Amino acid sequence: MPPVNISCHLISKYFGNRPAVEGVSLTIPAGRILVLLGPSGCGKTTVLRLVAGFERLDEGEIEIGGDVIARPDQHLPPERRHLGMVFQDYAIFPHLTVADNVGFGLNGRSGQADKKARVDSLLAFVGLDNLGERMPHELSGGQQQRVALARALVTEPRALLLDEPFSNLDAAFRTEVRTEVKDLLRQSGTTTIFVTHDQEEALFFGDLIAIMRSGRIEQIGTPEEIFLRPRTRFVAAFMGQTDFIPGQVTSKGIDTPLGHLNLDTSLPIGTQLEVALRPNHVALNPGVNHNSRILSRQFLGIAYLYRVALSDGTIIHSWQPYQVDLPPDTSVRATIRPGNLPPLFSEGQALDILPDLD
Amino acid sequence: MNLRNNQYIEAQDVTRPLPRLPRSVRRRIRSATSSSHLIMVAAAALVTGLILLVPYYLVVRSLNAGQAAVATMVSLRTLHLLGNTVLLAAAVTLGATALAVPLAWLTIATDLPGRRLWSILVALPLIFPSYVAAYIYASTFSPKGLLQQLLSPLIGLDRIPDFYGFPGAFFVLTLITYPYILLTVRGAFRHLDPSLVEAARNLGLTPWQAFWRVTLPHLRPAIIAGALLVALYVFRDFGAVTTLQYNTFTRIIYNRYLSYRLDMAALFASILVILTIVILLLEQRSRGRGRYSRLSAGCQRRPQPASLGRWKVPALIYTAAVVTVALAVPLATLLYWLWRGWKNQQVVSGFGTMSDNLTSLTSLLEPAWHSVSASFLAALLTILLALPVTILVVRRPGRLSRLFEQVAYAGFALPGIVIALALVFFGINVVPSLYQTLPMLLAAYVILFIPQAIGAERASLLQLSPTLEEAGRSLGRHPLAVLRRITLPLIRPGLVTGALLVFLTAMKELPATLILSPLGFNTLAAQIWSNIGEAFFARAALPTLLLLLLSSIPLTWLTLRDTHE
Repeated sequence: MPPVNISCHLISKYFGNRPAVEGVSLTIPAGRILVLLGPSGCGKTTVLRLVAGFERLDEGEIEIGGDVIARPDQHLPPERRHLGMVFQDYAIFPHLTVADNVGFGLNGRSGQADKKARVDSLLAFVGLDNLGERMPHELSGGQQQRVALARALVTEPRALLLDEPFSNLDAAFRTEVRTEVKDLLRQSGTTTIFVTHDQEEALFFGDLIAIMRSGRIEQIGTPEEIFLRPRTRFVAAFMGQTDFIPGQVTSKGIDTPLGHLNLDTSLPIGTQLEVALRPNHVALNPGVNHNSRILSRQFLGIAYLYRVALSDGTIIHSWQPYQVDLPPDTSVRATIRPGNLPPLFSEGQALDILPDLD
Repeated sequence: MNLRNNQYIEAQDVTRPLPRLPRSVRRRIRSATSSSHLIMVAAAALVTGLILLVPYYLVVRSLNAGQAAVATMVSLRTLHLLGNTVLLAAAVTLGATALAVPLAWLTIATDLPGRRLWSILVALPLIFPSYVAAYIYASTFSPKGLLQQLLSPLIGLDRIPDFYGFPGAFFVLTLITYPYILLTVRGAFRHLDPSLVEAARNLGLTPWQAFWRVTLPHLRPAIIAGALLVALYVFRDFGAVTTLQYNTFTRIIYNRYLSYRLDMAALFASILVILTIVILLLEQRSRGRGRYSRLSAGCQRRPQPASLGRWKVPALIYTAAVVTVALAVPLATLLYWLWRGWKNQQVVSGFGTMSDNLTSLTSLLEPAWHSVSASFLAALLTILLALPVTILVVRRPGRLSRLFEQVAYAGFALPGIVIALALVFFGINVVPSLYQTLPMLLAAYVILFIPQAIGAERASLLQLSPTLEEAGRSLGRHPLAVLRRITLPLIRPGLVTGALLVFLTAMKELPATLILSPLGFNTLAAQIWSNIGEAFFARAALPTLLLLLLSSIPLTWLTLRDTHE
């Protein structure tokens, strides 16, 4: 079945009086992976469950492939939506073998032989051939996850919904499994919605990332856009290691404790701004004109992550190649690296003055 | 892949106005739930309706009672009855707790020798119906009873303290109800997180202090749950208190029933029910705000058994003493009576005629079959009817589900005799074709035992993650198919436990069986009862033994499952 797109128009869901999801609109193009990212309680799992049909919409509309499947007065039950879902705890049926689990969705549509062939091909696809007759409790966590994936894919669903599928795996294992799963998803070419609270996973998986907070979408974009061009202060703070320093608009640009930025903001002189610094934006010079002091540093192998305190007490971070050796308590001059323009925020919203990414 | 920002910002704008239904209409449409949910609700409502027949009957009948009746109600005599009932319940609860908690600790958390065997033996007194235990102990301990006959040549004892009345009732009921507390406390011990005690020891508490300040508070909910079962058991008990001639409400209710003063019976029944509800409410209040389940995943280790050291022998003596008095003595007495009867060819009462042993044996086959088949059907029916309520309560919590659950548990508050009277009333007045038929008896069993079935099923269903059922639905199966293929197979242990419990309790049940059995439908319970009534202990022995044997099968099964976890 060719992949389809999914779109949600201004969907809302209330639990009692509390809005779990409010006015969310998304479109996932066919065959792409959208990651819903956000802190716990932001509503990302609720959006997934609304698309799956396990919750009813209070407002808005959900369409799959152009067909409306949910509205406040319409609700296509989950078993008729033809979507594959992988749950956080995998939800593998403990009383059925692996093969029976994977074949569960093949509801007597074809003969026994066809069914077996399809199950076998899926098991091979996820790398679990010859494990068909095992019981779920005999498999490792990673293997169980692959069973869950195979089971969701066996019916050739129109789209795949993944609810934090890696959170139950050991951290060491996670990276390895992630790569395999991304390859599988690419190969199957299915439209996918992926929910996670882990930004590293989001950056790894997503063709598109939607960051959510308190039931609303903060920003949707490619990983590069989200990371390098955050549209709100929340997104900037959420992604990566971000430190904020104050900036003030002057007639010649923006003044910050780390130096002057030559930018024309067309804002009134004296406006207070926030500058979102990432460790790669900050240069450290042990020479003269000190404005800060090294607090501590963390050795990351190829680089040091320095923790630096400004004279007013604000703490910022800076990446330096491992050859740059500045012991704690050294006084340095911290500046914004030329050529690196950090995002600027006025009242929480990004100033749209940075060049587009291409 | 050049997806620009702008496209997605646009998607967040309102691109076209959506038709918006008024909120009231939306709410109504939303509440029209799926068909499978409606089926569940309908089934649960049916069961609830059945149970509510009983209080309805009580109210109707009591209102009929009239002025004179009300006067009797507030009389000194009634207060005396109330006092008797409450006193017995309180005493038995305390006694059973004192007996059960140390036994639970000894058989599960220490290195008592022969632990596995003891843990089965101490739970076995559950097989004794109260009326059986009553007549066996009465025959042993009463004046001119077996004990006296044994002891008087040895010690020259002329009179032993009177067994009938309060002392006997207290003794007998304590011994047969302590297993309820034992089982609940044992279950709690098993779920105790050993790292809690270790944390306490690490913070400086001695083992004894750790037990008092950490372990015991954790056991409190289980002790209270078990104590509640015991208190309710005493309130509802009919067989023991009647045999031992201790006046409680059930006895008066039955007497009024026998003398056709049904209005008075209903009045007294109402008082009893109100009393039970008060106890239930007190128990709910006592649950308190502490959380007793594990806050974190806890450690997965099994707790180390406590070492008894020099207390091993006293502990063994205590355990053996309880098992002797609660299990060995009644069984020995029973076998003695059996031997006496067998010797005198008086094994079974054959309508007053003397018959030889073989005929007597075969004449018991029919009541045995009736008991087993009625209990089996009751078990099947009850676990089936408990399913909709359980599913609603666990999967769709809300006001309606809670209501269904509370009414179902009301069965705990309704003594068997009261339920029987209510059904008799409906039988005569509303559905005469069903009066004195097996379905009516089964209905009584369902009302009586559905709380047990719900409890067992609920424990199983709670352990089943709802995502398993959602996974089934996401793979294209209709909710009822999901129930059949996923939920039911996975809660089978709970269903089996529930069925065993109901079977066991139905076999022993007396008052409802007496009142509602169809004509000619003799059961083992009725058989035993008629012989006790006539003080033909020897004749009661064989049906009793048969009843115990048949009941011990499910009980052993249950206990083995319990200890194998």
